[in-house]
Amino acid sequence: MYSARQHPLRFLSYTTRYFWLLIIPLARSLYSLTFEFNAFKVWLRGAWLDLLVLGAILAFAYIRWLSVWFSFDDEKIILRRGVFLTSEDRVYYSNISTISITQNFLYRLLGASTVYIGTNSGKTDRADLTVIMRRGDADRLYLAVKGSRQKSLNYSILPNKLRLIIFSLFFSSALSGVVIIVALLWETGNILDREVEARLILDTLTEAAQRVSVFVPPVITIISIVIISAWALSFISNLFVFWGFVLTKCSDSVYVKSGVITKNRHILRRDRINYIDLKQSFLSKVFNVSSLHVSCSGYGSRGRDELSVVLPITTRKEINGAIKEVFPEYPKPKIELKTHPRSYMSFYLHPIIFTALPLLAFGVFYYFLPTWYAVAYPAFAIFLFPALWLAICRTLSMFTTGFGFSDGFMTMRYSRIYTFHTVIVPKDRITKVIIRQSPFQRLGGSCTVIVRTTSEQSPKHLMRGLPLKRALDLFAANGFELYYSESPK
Amino acid sequence: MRKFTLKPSALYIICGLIAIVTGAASYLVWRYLGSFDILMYVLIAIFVFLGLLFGFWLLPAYFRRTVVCLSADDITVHTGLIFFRREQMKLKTAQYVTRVSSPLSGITGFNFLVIHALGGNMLLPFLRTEDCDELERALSAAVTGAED
Repeated sequence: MYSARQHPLRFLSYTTRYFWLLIIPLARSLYSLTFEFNAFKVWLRGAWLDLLVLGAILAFAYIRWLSVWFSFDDEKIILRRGVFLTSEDRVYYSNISTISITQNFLYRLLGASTVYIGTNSGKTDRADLTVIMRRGDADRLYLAVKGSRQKSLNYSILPNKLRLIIFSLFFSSALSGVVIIVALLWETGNILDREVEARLILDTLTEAAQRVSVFVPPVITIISIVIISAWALSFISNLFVFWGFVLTKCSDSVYVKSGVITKNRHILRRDRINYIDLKQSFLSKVFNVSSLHVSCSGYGSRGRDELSVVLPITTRKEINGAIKEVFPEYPKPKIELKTHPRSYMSFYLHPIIFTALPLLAFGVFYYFLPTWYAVAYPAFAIFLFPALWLAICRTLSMFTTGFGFSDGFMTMRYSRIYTFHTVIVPKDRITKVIIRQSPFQRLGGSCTVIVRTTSEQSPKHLMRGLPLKRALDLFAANGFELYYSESPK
Repeated sequence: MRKFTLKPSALYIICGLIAIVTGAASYLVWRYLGSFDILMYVLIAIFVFLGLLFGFWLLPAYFRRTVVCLSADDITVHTGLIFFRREQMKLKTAQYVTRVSSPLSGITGFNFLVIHALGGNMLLPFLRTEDCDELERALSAAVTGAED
């Protein structure tokens, strides 16, 4: 059995954030000293407590790093932790749903890899084991897990790179770009002063808006800058993540490799895949292109900066071909029940609320605090735009939402915020079915169907505005008896 | 299929608590906002209206509507206060069961069962003690069977 300690880089992550909060001012004050012994003595007298705490943090991190060992052979990996109280996690490869090995740019320079191991035991959406290994150790583990899987003829899919560029260019989501920007700003704000950061961003936006204010109103400029930069960031990150993407299918596993700056390798057990999900944005829905995602414990977990993609954005024809080859047991999506024609309020309620709230706030500012008009007007426009976009997405969703059953699988088509989903799930992976009726839906005879599926992420597949009676009949015909009778017999 | 309804004594206790809270809130308004006549009457009217709404209409309707159905393969709950809900969970997906009982739950009916499954939970509220025992036994058997 091969045994080793984690990569020394792990030592840094064991030091707390306070370590950096202490070391930066200490280093700065040391740097500003004159080259005199007395000055150093004065500095030491003032900073001895900080130095002591720093030393304690480093010693604690070093002991923690020393106390973690991992070992693996052809059938299992063992992770031992602790100094006084020791614990040992033993995971057999046959129980691993997903093993992911990722290397970001810094890790590649330093020869480190992060290994995530996910099993079906997890209650949270984070990986069950996370280990930072030397690259050679990670490669050895990857080969050991690969060796434990069935040998069979492989089938590989390599997305067309030109098509990837074109589709990423047109269908990158500004929303996911916003998420990346917010995460980036949050991380930067943790290091820099948050006020300085906010002022810098506002000054830049205002300056840009003023420059073109002759041609375009400042509000439109600011919104445009935010959307375009978010979209551009999403486009670039899509390309970096999916460049060099290779999907290989074996009889019991799916192998995924991707990434330019951050290199990722994953092995997924096919029988642990809970469902497949074709995700589309509004534009990709209109042009019939999508990306294929899977739900499998440990893959694309929220705790990590990773997507659960098995095929990046491409044409529907290619996606269908890939499903046929990689997941042959999954049938073609079949929708038997669509939304009730009178259920439009179920779709428009949220956009109306999200439009009314900024409108109300704007009205309050306009009548009671007119001096704040200059701030309230752009803020109103910024909040109004996502609500209007949501209304447009919901309009399309009204015509596409629905579900159906075929060959032991359930197909669900719905939208969540700005993303459209087509989920195909085996019936035995459905954990819970909920049929909900608001007072208005009771009047119109419609309902909301919520399906929960076996997964560590506890996903909620929510379909609005379906006719109640037909939904009940369809569920009853497929083994989900949900008719109501208050009789206690 | 076995059906379970909620214990009515839990409803009476909750209605009693609502009456006490409504009375206390109205007294406080009368005591401290006596000088603002209109505001005082409006607030007392709101408290009394809410107390009557919940105590005499919504909660009795909730207790009347809620039915738990247990079959060999699944457990179904029909419930709802304003939003009506029908929930069904397959027993084979259940991982474990949590039981929460208050003191004197045999009289008050404050027995709750939470069924935990990979991907979702289900709450069975205000059960009779004997119903709770029976459901717990059946669910535990299902969980053990699922592991086998």
